[in-house]
Amino acid sequence: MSFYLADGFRAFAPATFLLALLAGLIVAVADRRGRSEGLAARLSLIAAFGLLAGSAAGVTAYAWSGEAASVTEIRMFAEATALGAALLALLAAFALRFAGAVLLGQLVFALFSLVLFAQAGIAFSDAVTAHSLTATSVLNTELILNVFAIALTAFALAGLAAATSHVARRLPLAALLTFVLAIVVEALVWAGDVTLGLLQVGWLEVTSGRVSLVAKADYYSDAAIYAELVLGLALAALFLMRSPPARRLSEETAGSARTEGRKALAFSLGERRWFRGLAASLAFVAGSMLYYDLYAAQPPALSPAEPVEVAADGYLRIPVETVSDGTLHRFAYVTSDGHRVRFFLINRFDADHVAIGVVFDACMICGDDGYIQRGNEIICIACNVRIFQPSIGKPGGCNPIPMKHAVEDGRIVIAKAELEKGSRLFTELVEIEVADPVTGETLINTRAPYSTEFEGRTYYFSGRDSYDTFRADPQKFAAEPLAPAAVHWDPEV
Amino acid sequence: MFSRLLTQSFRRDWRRKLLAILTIALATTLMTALASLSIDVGDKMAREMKAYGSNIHVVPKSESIPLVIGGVDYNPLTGRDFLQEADLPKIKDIFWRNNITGLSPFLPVKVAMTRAGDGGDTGSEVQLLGTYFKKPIKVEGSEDFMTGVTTTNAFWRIDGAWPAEGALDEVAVGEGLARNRAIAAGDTLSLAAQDGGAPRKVTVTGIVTAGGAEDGQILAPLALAQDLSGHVGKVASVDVTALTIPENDLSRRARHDPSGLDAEEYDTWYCSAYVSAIVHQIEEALPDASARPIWQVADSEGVVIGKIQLLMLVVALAAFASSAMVISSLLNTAVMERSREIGLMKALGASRAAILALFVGEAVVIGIIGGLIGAAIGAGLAQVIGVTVFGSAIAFPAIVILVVVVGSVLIALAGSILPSRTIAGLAPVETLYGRR
Repeated sequence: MSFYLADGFRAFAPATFLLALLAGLIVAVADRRGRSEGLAARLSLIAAFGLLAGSAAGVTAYAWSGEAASVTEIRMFAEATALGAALLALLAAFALRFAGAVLLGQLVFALFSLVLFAQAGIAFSDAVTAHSLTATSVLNTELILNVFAIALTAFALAGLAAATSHVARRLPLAALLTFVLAIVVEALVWAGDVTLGLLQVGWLEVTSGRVSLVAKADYYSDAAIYAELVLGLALAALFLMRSPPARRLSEETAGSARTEGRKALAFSLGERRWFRGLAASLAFVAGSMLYYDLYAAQPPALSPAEPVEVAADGYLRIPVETVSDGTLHRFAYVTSDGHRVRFFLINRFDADHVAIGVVFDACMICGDDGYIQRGNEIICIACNVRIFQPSIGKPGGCNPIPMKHAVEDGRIVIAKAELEKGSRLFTELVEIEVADPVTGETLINTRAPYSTEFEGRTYYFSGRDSYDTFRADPQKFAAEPLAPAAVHWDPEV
Repeated sequence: MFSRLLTQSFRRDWRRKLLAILTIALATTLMTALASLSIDVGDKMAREMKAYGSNIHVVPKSESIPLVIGGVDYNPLTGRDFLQEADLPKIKDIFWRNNITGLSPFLPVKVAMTRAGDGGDTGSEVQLLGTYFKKPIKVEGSEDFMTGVTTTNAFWRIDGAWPAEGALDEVAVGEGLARNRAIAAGDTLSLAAQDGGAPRKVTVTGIVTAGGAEDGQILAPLALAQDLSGHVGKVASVDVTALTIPENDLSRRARHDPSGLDAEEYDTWYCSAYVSAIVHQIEEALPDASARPIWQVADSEGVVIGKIQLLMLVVALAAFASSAMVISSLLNTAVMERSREIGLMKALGASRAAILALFVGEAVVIGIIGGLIGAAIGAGLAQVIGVTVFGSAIAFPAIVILVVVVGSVLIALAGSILPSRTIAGLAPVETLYGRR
């Protein structure tokens, strides 16, 4: 259920926050002109309509994706529109603050809410598509909890909206600043996404600068909501400092001074309530997000891998009795081009029938996320498949990729050539010293300006010249293929 | 101040509050009983769908044509069509071959059984079930694959030893049959096929406790059953156990119609270990067979609940609406009676929201108390219904308490909509004068 809370907040909280700030600004300006009667209610109604119509449109567009347009295109379109609307909203906010354009503000508010909620609807649908609301059509605990989580999200966001707009109404200038900053944060996320979409559908040429820009935007996009929460917290703190202190009346005060004093006290107590409401809703959103991001959504951690190195004769030997206890024994080997290759050994049967499966910690289908052992089960992290333990060491399905090996004098023997093959299966790079195959210069692999792959090995170059020389005739410079193993191979693999 | 006003109100007007609590308790009793019934079955179904292991039943295609009328199977092909035993290794040759943990073929035969030493009468008819116990199957790439009922039905217990694989003179006897006929391990039985033929002497190696129909049957190596029935090299059905991943939306859609998926979805589905994907691959491997996942709860109680779910919802809604109306009229009377008090509060500067909060607070307290009482009574009622309808007790799902309390608070809130309008309509001057 926690993913519905987190995904709901991630999709809808920015929209709610931005709209609440804008609504507060509009009411503040109308307050100054004495025309705020019923305005807050009207804005709530507009926002509610925007929420219903916008998110319904977003969810429908997402559900129809695949027929008219791909998900990427729909997301891109929605985010580009949101970018445009955000620009318009920025202008409207300044016009509101400095020219008092209340009617314009309301119009832009209506448009902005429609666009933002449509975008949020699409983002939410995209996020929850991996989860199912219920496993069966009959009412069950999971379904109720999930529906409850969605209702709780809506409830918390409604509280956040009410409190934020009240605070923004009291502090229009600070709210304007917060609004601008929050829009900049969101716009950066959207711009990164739109660029990625353009690259994906091929409307924009792929260049290394654009890719790195998109990668950065994507990397930081998950932090956007935390940035907005911090902004909200700062606004709340300022509000608390600026609101009048609650002063109890002394017994002597009488007459109209007493009435005024009571009114001031009631006002101040009311403002404190708003502060508490804002702080509580921000804390709830932040708490749910942190719980999800730091705990619930964390992939299961791999058990540590024991680093190994091959002996001088080019073979790695592991005594069978050290790995025959039925648990997963993970090892890591760093290839000559710096890839960290994980592999594991496990007894496929029981203590009486020792048959060691020797496999890479990667799957042909799912990649190099690896496998974990939980209780008696071996699980592929990427696809959650349980692996039938006796079948480890055989290819097929989601089984770990088998490694060639031999059993000699009670030891598992793996050739260096086999371990080096892992460099094309694993992406994790370790910083090591490598030699430029052309010039022979030593350099650090992760900082090499040029690199290329040849026959499953990565080569690093100190400069363009040696890179070009290598590309022209790779055979000449490539490392000698490692001698095949001279031991008798297990016929099974 | 707020809590003091609330306690005062309950102390002064406890009769009306009690009536309201009873109303809500009545409605929630009904809601609890229906909800716990439905949620219990729903949870069991969800667990079944989310299990990491599944059983698959494979039968000849002609048998999967449903022709059951009034519980009687009218399919003329039942028991006539067979699967080839030689095809079984193909099941271990599908894409998810490594996830197939075991398979057991079955071939039932009716035989006349006589116990040696009972005299030479014709004997009585019993069912003999031919299967694998622990048989090595030749599968390319996994020479050590051993399978049979000892893997697929690991919960079967044997008192003695399993018959030797391929032996034509060893059987195991179901616990029920053994008790009725006083058969013990080591006894010699004489089995004769129905169509005549020479009776065959077999030794009982053990007594099997299976907890199912097998308890009344003789379990024999497949070869013996084939020999007795004359269906050499044939099996009637196969049970397959597989390691799977929980069902989700994609696999549900695929189960409904695999051709309705687009290419990318089809690949994802085919390359994920959903039970539906494995079933699909078994059918691809054995073209004349029909495979089906076995979902015990979904196929029995789930069907019943699925059909009456809407009815339950309507009943629950009716209970909700009628009790909300009762609460509404009770609260409205309270507001009218306390109009002077409300007028005074208004005159002192209380906002409409503050006064409403008082009444809503009352309603929520009433809702929670009534809901908890109703949940307690409803839990008992659910047990009665469970025993009479399904013949088994119902595990009370804890979530029902949440549902019922939220439901009864909602009843109370819905009931206070009308009173809140009444409060808004009260003018301090009029009420303090006593005009209203």
